[in-house]
Amino acid sequence: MVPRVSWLRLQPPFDQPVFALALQRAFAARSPPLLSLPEALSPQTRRALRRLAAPALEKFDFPDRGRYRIAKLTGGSEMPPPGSASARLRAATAPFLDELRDFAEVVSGARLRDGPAQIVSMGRGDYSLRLDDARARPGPAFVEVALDLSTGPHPFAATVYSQGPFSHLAVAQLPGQLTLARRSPESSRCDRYRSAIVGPRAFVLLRAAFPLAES
Amino acid sequence: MDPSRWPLERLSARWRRAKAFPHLVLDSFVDEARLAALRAACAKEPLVPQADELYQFQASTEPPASALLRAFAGELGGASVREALREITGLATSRVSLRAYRYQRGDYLLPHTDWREGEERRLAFAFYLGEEADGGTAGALRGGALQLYSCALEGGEIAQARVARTIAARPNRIAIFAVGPGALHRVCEVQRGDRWSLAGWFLA
Repeated sequence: MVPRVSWLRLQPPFDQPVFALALQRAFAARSPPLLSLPEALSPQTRRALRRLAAPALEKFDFPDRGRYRIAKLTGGSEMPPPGSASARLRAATAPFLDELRDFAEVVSGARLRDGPAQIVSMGRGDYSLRLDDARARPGPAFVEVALDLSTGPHPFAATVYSQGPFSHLAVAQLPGQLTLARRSPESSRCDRYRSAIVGPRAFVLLRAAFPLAES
Repeated sequence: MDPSRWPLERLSARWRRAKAFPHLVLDSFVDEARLAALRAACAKEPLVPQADELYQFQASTEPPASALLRAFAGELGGASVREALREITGLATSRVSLRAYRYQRGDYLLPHTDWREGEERRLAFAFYLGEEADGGTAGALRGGALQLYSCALEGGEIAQARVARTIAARPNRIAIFAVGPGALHRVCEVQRGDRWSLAGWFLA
């Protein structure tokens, strides 16, 4: 078992199983199951994680899918060279992803496997469409955890989760917020285009997808 | 809008040689009095804010409420324009679907294609009215250009894309382009002013 990095942890009460258990009913009651909870990560931890991720972020620009910067925390065709910014980031976040998976398992009541995770940074003119979500999803059913690492809040509907054509849930930019979404084949997600109206402040997320163990 | 005066052979060659994908740009499309009347009609047209993952703008109903805008759509979709476009593009069409659009500061249309399996869209068009339909209070238009992408397709999906042509939303200009799975295009975010247009498709 890999020891957990001390500075990178969910802050109380998110690190307590009894708290996650108490959220089960609220999560299941939503259609689609989705919860957004504030203050899951301290400002110091967010800052440290942003600093660690910054040199590992790479440009993603496929116009029909999205435009943003991304640092993969798992997977990829090649492992990053030892000692590189990407390798340091992966090493530091691996135990934290275990903690997020454990938390997601308790809240969702489902056995989960490890899946793709990344840090995504969206600045002026960036976006991610549903097609990007469709191409990147790890399977038909999974639980998605998104941790907002942004430097400041914004009321803009940054991420929109949809279930079919008529059900939409918007999640605003709120530093420290943890969003948990149970994703099905009918669900989709997009990150809205960040125009001049939204302003220059970047929307930074740690996003991890944990497939259902039986799927 | 007098297609009898269009140099069809030259336009056809331009259509075939166009960068990105087949398209055409025609300036001074209508006379100035008509343009002013269309601007005035757009300013009075009821528009509804629309937002989705791909876009944010205001649009009229289809067809628009204004008799003048509907007459323009009728003329654009009339036999003489469609026959001229058939000679230029090789594509036969039967009618036009058109709405009025207003893009204000921060509005956009992200990269997409208009192509849908089984749908009737053959040619897309955007006719630009200029920024003065509201009396010019929003200032001169900056941004709002139409960008066409050159795409590499793999298995019917876009594998690579780069901007190959930028078409400014100049008043009294019409841009007409092919609809297909690789005809990726976008409207750049409007940074200042209002971008007014009449846009839609020539349908099969």
